[in-house]
Amino acid sequence: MVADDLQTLLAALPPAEADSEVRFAEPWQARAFGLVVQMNAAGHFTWAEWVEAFSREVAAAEAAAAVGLPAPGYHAQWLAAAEGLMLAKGITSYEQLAARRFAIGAAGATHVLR
Amino acid sequence: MSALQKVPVTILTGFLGAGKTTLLGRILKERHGERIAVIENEFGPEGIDNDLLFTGGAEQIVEMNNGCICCTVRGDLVRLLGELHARRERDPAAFSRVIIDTTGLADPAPGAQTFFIDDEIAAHYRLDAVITVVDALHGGAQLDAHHEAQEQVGFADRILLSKADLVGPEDERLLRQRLRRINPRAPIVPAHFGAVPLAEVLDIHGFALDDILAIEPGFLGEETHEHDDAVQSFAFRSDTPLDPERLQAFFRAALREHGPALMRYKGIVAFPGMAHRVVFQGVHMMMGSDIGSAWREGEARESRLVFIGRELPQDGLLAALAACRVNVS
Repeated sequence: MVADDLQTLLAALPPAEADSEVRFAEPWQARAFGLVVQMNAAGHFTWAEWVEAFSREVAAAEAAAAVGLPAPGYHAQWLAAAEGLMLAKGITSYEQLAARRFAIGAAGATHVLR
Repeated sequence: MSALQKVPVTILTGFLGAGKTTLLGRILKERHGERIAVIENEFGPEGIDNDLLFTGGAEQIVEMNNGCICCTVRGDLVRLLGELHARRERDPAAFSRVIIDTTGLADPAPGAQTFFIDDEIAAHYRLDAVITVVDALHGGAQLDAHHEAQEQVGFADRILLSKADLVGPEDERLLRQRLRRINPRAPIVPAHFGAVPLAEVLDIHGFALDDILAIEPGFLGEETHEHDDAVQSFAFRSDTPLDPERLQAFFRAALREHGPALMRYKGIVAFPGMAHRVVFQGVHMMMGSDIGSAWREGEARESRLVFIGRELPQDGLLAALAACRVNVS
């Protein structure tokens, strides 16, 4: 069940900065969140693998912030981890990601046909 | 997640009297073993006999609150399709397809955009195609008199030519040529009394991000023509790969300046260093893109883009596209 997975996922999550509640300011953030839940449910990766991938992105962002470089926010880290894991698992390719991003760059994120 | 498959939806347009109702009647009568829900906004003189007929009253154009003038949807469709989905959740066998019969003068864009902008609708339905019925006898005069007729032709994934038996071959040839200039990507299919193979009407995948971009050969630069329709098309070809960032910048500017006028566009392009084609298509200011098939060994990597729109500055846009080629500074 997806709902059970969601509970597992939330329990496994590293705590977000200020509070542990997941909040979505923009639709893509919710979609990125749902994508990870669904891919786990479909058996593409385990939560242990997810936690490892996500922790790497969090650590990279913290390392960047520590030396004054622009660091991605929580949801961007989440998306980067999802993309990285999908690439590692062969679910998508760099070319496919680049191709899908073309319309975002051309029409804007809120004007993408799905 | 819903276990239900997305329901394919066909939008049927065409001027009053072109033969939409006849066509719809034929589709419903054919033994296709499907339950088709029909959404109509007006009753034609013949009427449609179908258990699953819904009339929504007037088409209701709603501007979305994102401030984008192109992002209009049809509120009546959102409501009706929502109700239909609720019915299908109770009974998955209720229907497996929807046909939307639009009013004669309707602009197809808000109806089509509804399927991309409204998240609920996008989750449950797949817009298959816009089908436009053109009356061979009166089509020319209707194109002259109503810009909506041109827009319906420009927006179409298939053009069905009715009443061709009532005109001579030369008149038909000229009309086809005119339709071709407005819309070079939609095949023109004869529809004598609505007799069209269902394969020409249903499951066309007109909005799919596929590698298919069939442009009628020689539609560019053909003989001089007497009609200068407001809705026109043009194509861009390049044997040189295109720079993705320049092409994105081109679209940002083109959509900003001409989004309301750009009705449909599609491209299959080669980007440097990529083993696959990138395909994209758009409706006004909304655009989707995906990876296409891989280029074959030794194959010429030709990029092709087609634009259909109202009074587009073709020369300027073509020059801007030419500047997107990688070896152009």
